[in-house]
Amino acid sequence: MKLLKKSPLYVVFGGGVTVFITLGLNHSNGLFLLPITTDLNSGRELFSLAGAFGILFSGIGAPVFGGFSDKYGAGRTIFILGLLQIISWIWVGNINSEFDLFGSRILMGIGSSGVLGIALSVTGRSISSNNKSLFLGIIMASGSFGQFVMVPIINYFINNFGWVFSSMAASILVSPLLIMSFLISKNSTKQIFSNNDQTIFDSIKSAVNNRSYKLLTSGFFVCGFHVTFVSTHLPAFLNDNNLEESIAGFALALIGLFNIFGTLSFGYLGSKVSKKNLLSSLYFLRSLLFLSFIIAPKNEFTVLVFSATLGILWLSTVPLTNGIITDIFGHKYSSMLFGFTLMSHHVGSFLGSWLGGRIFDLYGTYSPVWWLCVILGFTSAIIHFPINTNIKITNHDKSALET
Amino acid sequence: MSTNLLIFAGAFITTWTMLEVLFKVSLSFANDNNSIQNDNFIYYLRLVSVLLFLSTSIFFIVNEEKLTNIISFICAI
Repeated sequence: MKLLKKSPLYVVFGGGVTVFITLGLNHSNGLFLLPITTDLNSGRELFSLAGAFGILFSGIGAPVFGGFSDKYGAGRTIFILGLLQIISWIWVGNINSEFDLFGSRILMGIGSSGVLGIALSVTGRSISSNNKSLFLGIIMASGSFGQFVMVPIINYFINNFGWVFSSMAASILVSPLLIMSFLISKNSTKQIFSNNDQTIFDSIKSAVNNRSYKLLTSGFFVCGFHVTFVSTHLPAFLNDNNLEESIAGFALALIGLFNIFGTLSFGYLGSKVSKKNLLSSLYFLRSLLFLSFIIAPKNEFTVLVFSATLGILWLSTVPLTNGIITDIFGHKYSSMLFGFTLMSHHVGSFLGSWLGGRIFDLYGTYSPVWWLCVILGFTSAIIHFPINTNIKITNHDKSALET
Repeated sequence: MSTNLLIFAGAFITTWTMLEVLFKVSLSFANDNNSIQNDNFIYYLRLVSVLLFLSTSIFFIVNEEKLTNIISFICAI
């Protein structure tokens, strides 16, 4: 048992399950769009805006809880976040007004903020550098597997028992996070880091002055936009194209399934090939895929191929982005620094969720947003090229900073 | 049922082929090309994919009513 407690796999398992549950349930949010808007008799924009605010608060909370985790331990932070998620899902089941809709979504956003960054950072610290990228890929793959498992379950619950029951079930499904927090707490605060004398403010200062970090953060915005627009609006988009309801569930599940292979493959490739070049090609391929989907006829086969291919490129950006951050800045404040990058991702998510609903309510079509996805993808591919991952900033050496 | 399974299998195989091509092309840019390690990785990935494909196919193969009853039973517990 002692050996088990000292094993890094202990932390990887805890982090993996935490991400599995949180991401799995987060990606099922889109399935609540139609039933809740029908019950509240409101447009899609209101739900999208509430979801967008939730995502925005999730982004704001990411560096805050990341910093809290770096200072006071990942276990305590995950425990608090787990409690917030449970309360928020119970609140979702009791939505009666617009206030409840916004309140529950914002609380859910805060509850899920930082979970990913914390799990990745704790894993990164406990694994040797040779396999790090692959293990970060495994953490992300578990999130994808969560999506693959949770989305069809929630879809089934909504179709058979209604959205109120489904959100209550989600509050129970999220509760293992409290147990996982104890597994994760075996790590994090008592480590000796190469940048041990660095303070939080030094770390933020060096990140703000680093051009590569700024480019990486800007590029990650696009990932958030793509992912949240698709996961929130794809079910409704397919419904508008007269495809069966079950196809939406399968499409989201297939994204999750292929995301497992995608994150594992890109995690592995990250230890072999330049991470920033991989990120550039990944965003380029996403744009090509969106372009093909715009042009292609919308039937079961094309939708499933699109979903599966998007799944490969879905969250494969995360282990690579996190890997670049730890390559440059080391591990000590990696949760917080990745949290800031994640904030940019969530601002993109906010716009992806809200703009999708806004454009649909205005024009009755999602077409302009699909085109925006194409343009943003190409832009992000270009943004990642000048990133320099060869500079390591581990102490106060300001001369090492790029200006 | 069988049509949906065929569509699912078609989509799965098409995308998997694209992933393998992407993987091989990316590896051609690698600095240290350890082919045994790469082959092992893709082998295990294929294994996982086959397992996940088979487990997913159960949704199409098992009679939907039976599956619904099982899930309802689990929910009741």
